[in-house]
Amino acid sequence: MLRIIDQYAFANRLRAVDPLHKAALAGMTILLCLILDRPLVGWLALAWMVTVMVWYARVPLRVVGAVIGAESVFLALSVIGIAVSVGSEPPPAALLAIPFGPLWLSATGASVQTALHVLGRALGSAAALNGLILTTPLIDLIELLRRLRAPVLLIELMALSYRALFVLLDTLDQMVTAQTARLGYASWRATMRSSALLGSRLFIVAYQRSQALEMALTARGFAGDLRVLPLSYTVDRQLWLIGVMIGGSLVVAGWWT
Amino acid sequence: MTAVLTLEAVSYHFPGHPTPALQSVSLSISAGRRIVVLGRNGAGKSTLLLVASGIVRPQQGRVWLHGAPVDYSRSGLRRLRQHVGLVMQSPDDQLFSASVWQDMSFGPLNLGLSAEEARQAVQEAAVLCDVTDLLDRPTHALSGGQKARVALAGVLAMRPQCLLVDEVTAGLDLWARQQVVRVFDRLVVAGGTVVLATHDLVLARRWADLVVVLHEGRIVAVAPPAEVWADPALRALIAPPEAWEEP
Repeated sequence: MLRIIDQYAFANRLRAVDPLHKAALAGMTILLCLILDRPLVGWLALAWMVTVMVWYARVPLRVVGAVIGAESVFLALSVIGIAVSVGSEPPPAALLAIPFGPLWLSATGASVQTALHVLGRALGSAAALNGLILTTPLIDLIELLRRLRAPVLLIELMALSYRALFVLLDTLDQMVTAQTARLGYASWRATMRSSALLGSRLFIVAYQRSQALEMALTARGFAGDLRVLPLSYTVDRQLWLIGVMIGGSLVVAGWWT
Repeated sequence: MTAVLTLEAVSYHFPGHPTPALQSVSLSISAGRRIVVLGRNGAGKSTLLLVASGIVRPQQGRVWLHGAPVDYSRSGLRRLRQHVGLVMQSPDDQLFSASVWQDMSFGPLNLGLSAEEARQAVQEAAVLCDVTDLLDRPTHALSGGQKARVALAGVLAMRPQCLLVDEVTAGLDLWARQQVVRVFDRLVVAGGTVVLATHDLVLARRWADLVVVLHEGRIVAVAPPAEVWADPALRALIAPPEAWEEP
């Protein structure tokens, strides 16, 4: 999933747009989802964000669906606790009541409504964040943090971690293939042993790579900080217009529903 | 010819290793040369490049840059890096930034160039290495050949006079290797020097004008390829007999 998100973040139509604008759009949507405490707002934000990602940024619907679907499962499991209550007898206005030994699992109209409200709010906010990460590569987000004057150490750690992540994922893939080719995962016992060896070997490889990286940085004049040129971006006026429409519609939904 | 870089009786022994990596190595690297360093694994090729680039300080002997001994202070090393660039064996060890453009700008900015000068240096190196279409790509999404050229471009953006290259062509297909060699040629035509450590005998024979043969940390020959190829004793130190049969 990480690689897929990264791939579309680089390949979508909003790739070159200033990350500050995209972050502002996502931030505004999240803020409105949190401030305007109405059920429709979250669901409307979700619909808007899916539309922007699929129709405007041209991220395939199946990718957007997979990302939001995965989050929906977690969120739905979390709100079950709000919708369902446990008691010695079912409430009189229960929509659903299931006996469970001496207890009753029940859900009322009000509890289901609250659960759906929370779910919509969380999904709307999550979709806004997805809209940002599916259209903005991490390097642009790091660049955005640099422009917002985040601590240099944090930015350098993020940049190095992001780069190292893919190098180590490739190494991990190669090691797993090499182990599989030698029946490393043919049984439960072999799987346990191979996984342990993989972990320790990966640590050593990471250490060796860090030493080689330090040498390579030194050869290019590294003097304590990773100074690089800033990236350049474009301005998308249509995105601004879409932002105004999203904000306006959410405010209307929040006040008049 | 004036020597850009001179190694004088240089020795280096990695702590914990039974034998020295380099033993009293002397070598003069002149401008405009195509130099290939040959030798078995562990012969000292990589250490030779690390010492020549100032990454590793020799325990004995001296390194000279344009006739003056290398000063290992921060300013001295900066001066060395302005003239001598090192390309590591694995591009993944060199490319630290997520974006090609930013990775290539790292060296020029460290040399003290302004943002505009660095931008120009990056563009020039990108043209030289044929990576202009890769500048806005993430480094992790490049192929092996592209990574090698970007790693090379990142060093060439510092405009070194002498380029030390550690087996960067290993693992590349013939097209990618050809592209990398073309970059070396452009650099030499512009008056630069390339020192390439490799196991590629075909490349060494066809491309180099000088071959350095290393064996157990010592230089055993510095000669044109034809002379090395004609000497059975030297050939035996570099590769087994069947490796010398041209396809």
